[in-house]
Amino acid sequence: MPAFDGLIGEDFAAAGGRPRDTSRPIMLIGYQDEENLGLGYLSATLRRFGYRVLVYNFNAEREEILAAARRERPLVIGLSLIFQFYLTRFAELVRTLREGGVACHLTIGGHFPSLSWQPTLEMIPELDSVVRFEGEVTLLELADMLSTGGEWRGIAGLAWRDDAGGIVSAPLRPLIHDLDALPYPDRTQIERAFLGRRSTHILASRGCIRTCSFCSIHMFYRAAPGKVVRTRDPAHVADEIELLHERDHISLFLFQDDDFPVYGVKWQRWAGNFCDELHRRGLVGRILWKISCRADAVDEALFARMRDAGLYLVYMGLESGNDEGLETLNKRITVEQNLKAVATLKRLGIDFAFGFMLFEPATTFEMVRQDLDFLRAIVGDGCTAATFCRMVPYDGTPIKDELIRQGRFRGDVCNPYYDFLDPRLDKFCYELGDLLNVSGWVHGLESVSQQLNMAWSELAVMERLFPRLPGIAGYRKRLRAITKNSNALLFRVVDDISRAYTDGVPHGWTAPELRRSCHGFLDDFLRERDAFVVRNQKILLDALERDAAREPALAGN
Amino acid sequence: MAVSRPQTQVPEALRWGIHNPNPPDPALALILEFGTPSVRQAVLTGLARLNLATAQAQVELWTGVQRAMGQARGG
Repeated sequence: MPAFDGLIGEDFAAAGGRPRDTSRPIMLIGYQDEENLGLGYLSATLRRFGYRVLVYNFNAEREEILAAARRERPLVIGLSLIFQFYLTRFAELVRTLREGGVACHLTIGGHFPSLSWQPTLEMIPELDSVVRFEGEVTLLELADMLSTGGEWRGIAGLAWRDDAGGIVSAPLRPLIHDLDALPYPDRTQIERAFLGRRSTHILASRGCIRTCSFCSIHMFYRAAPGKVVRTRDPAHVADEIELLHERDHISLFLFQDDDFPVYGVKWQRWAGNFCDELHRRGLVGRILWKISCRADAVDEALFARMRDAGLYLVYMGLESGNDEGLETLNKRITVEQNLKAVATLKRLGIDFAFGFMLFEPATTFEMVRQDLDFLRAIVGDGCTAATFCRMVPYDGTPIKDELIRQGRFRGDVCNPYYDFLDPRLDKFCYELGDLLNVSGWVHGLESVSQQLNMAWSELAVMERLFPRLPGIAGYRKRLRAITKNSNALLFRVVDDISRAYTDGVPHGWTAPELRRSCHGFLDDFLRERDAFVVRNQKILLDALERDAAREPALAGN
Repeated sequence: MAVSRPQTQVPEALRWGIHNPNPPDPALALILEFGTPSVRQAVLTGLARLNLATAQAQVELWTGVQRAMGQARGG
C-alpha cells in the first residue's frame, strides 16, 4: 500500500497525526442501474489506500441500505448524486439513515452538489459535508482525517456547515492533473450485451472545452482550478482494455468521455496513437468501441483509421437542425457541419447515434419543421432510428440563468422547465409527449427507437466479432427498411400534430393506433432478426463455444 | 412490449434483449422532459410520498429492532 503517490502528493493520514486506520469500511451509494464509473473511480482510489469499500445502488431497497449501514458501521457514507431530479429521493434516504440510527459522517458529491453546494446542504440538513468537483482525493483526505481524528473541516474541495449554522466551503482542490495516477475503476457490473459479448464503460479523458449553454459539464470542470481537459496516456487506456479483454472477456468498450479526444491536431495525434496501441496489442478484430464527440471533430482520414481499429459507433450531440437553435444552445457549430459529419460517417460505414433537442427555449413551429427536414436528411434512409427530446434547464447552466432573467423558468430543482415563447408550443410539446410515451416510440429502454438502435449495435457485433454470416447483407437491408418506415411515420406524426396547432387541421392520430404501429415495427424486426439468427445459429454458437472454452466464470454473470 | 415475446425457436444464448449496453436516460428523466406540468408534479409527489412512507416504515421497523436489541446508535 503506498503511503502516498503522484495522485495525492502528500500523506493525509500522517497529517492527521496517527497512522491511517482502515478498520471501518467506506460506504458509497449512487445510481447503479447502469455502470457508474464515477463510483468505480472513488472506490478504487480508496481501496488503493487500504480502505474496504462497499458500493450500494441508490435504487436498492432502503431497508437493505439501512441494514448495511447499521451492520457495517462505516467510517463515512458517500452519496453520488448525478441526476438533480433525484435530490428529493436522496434527501429521503439520508433522513432514513439518520432516523434509523446511522451517526457516521454523511457526505455527497456529483454535478449538482458541486455547483449548488449551499442549496444542497440547506435542503438536506442531515448531511455533514459536500465533496465538490472531482472527488477521489477529497474523499480520501476526508476518510483519513476521520479515521485519524484529524480536523476534516477545511479540507480543500469540501463544503460544510459551521458551528454558527452558516454554510462554508474551503478553497477548491485543483482537478486531477495526471489521470494515469488513478487506479483502474472498480467494475461491479460487467454485462452481457449482445449475443454473449460483454461490454463495459471506460474513460480516456475528463473535461470538455466547449461551452454549450444547456450543459453543466463544462461548468463543473471550469469552476475548479486546473487544466479543464486531461487525457490519459493512450498506452495506459489500451492496457486497461487489454486487461479487461483478457481477464474478463469484454469485447465492447463504451467510452464515456465528455468529448473523446479527436478534435484538433493534438488530440487527433492522441487518437492515432491509441489506434496504434490497440494494433500493437493484437486487440483489433477482437474488440469494438464506441465514442461520443462533436460533429466538427469528425475527420475522414482519422475516423477511417479508428474504424479499422474497432470504432463501430459514434454518438454526437447534434441537438438542432437549424442554425438559430444551435446558436441558442451555444453549440458553436453549423447545420452544414452537422450534415457533413453524418455524411462522412455514412461514407466510412460507421454507425452513429445522436442527441437532438426538438424543443428548446427558442423553438418555434417553423424551427420544428426545419428540424424535421434535418432529421429526414440524416436518418430518412433508415441508417439509425430517430430520437429527440426537450431541453431541461439544469442547475449551473447558462441557459437556466437566462430563462430566470427572462422570467420564463418554471418549477424547481427537481422539476425544472420553462415556458416557450409561443404558448401553442407548450400544448404541442405535451400532446406529442403523451402520444410518444403511450405508444412507446421514443422513450424508454423498450421503445421502438431504442430497440432498433440496439439492433444496429447487435448487427455491428455480428459483422465484426463473429465469422462471416451468410445472408447478413440481406438482414442489414431489411433492418434498414424497418427503421426507415418507423422514422418516416414518426416524422409524419410530428409534422401533422404541429400543423394542427398552426393550420387548425385536426391531425387524427390516436395513441392506440400509434401503439399498434409501434408493435408492428418491433414484431417485424424480431421476426427478421430471429429468422436470421436461427439460420446462422451453428456459426454463432460455435464461436461462443470457442470463447467459452477460454472464459473464466464471472461472478454474477 | 414485444421484447418479451417468446423466442422459443431461438437458442437461449442468442435471444434478443439480454441487455442494452448504452441505455437511454432513466425513465424519470424522460417523464420530466415530456410530461405535462401536472404529470410531472404527480410523478414527483408520488415518489416523495412513496419515499416518505417507505422511510417511515423503515424508521418504525428499525426503532422497534433497536428497542428490542437494546442497541446504541449505529454508524
